[in-house]
Amino acid sequence: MSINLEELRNEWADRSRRLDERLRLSERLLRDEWIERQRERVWKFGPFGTFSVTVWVATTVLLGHFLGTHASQPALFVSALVLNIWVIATGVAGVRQQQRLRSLNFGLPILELQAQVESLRMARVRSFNRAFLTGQIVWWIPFFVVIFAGAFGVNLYLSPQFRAFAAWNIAGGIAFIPLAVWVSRRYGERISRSYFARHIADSIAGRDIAAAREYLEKLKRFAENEG
Amino acid sequence: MNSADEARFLALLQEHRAILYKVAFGYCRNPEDRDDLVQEMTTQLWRSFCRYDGRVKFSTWAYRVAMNVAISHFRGEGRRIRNTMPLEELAYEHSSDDPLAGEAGDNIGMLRRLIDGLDELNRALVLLYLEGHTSKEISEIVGISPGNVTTRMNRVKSELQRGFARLDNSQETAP
Repeated sequence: MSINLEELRNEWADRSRRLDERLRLSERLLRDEWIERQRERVWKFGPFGTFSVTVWVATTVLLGHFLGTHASQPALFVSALVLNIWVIATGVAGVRQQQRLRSLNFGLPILELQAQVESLRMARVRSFNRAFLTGQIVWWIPFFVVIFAGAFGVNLYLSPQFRAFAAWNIAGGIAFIPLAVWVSRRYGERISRSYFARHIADSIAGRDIAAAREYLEKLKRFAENEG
Repeated sequence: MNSADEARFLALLQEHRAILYKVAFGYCRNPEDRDDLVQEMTTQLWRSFCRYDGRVKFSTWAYRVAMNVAISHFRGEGRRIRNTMPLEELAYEHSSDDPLAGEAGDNIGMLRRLIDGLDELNRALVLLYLEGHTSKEISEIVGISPGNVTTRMNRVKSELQRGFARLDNSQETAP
């Protein structure tokens, strides 16, 4: 038996017509309340998400307050300033990415839109890696110094154990970066079956960027009629 | 979007609703995932409608949106796109015995198996071809030249032809 696509095109069209007849949209879709719900959702889940924005603004305000009240203590002021700059920079990067994601025009031709999605994916991974790596500088000493000073009124810089604390934290922070990259590359597949953990492992190991770059090449070859 | 645009959108969606289902069928075998995908496409159409400028036919635009959502979903970006705009309960109703599914032994069933083996871009070409689109229309949706569409379709047809022969042989030799 010889079958070819031309013959099946008619059969497909016939079944497609039958699908049209069977398929029907629920009348619920046509109700105004659906429209209203969509509007609410668009507003509620605007760029960066309400929860994230709330946490981000609260953190920035608290750090701003800390800066104001500790302006006369340079060591604490600089620690809080570094931390606040990191919080603001990562927040701005997050908002910009959400805006870019939301501004994607899905009505563009497939190759064009997919290339934009892929470029955005690369930018997102790079931004995550930047935040993760620079986070090693601020998550350790400045974070603890500000938390202790803000919450308990204790200036860790004046503590006799501070040098040991700082040395261990710096060593931990520095060692963590290559260790995280090595663990992600070596055990990324086994770290977890969860999407989130895999996503982090792939980002750190650079697999996401490599995959995105490869896909952009594939789109280019497809457009140029190669491969 | 004002109420006149909303009414226009719903009328157009009603008229072209089958496009979403057909595209979803091309990229998703699991019925539940397929329903999610159709809802995701509808949400994206709704969000993108304000940018529809009428330069291409609504059906062409709807195919672009539906296929872009399906391919993004297929490639794993769907989760992130969904997270920026949760799905709504749209309640599409359709029969479970889908005409496009085909039976394991019939021609359409075999074709579906072969289409499943294609990558997402060639799959788009074949689905559009089977829906009766011309090379020019396919080129507008995919974003490549009509000549490129023809060349690629010839390659895919040959590939499918070989696949049919393989499936045919395996069925004949099966006990």
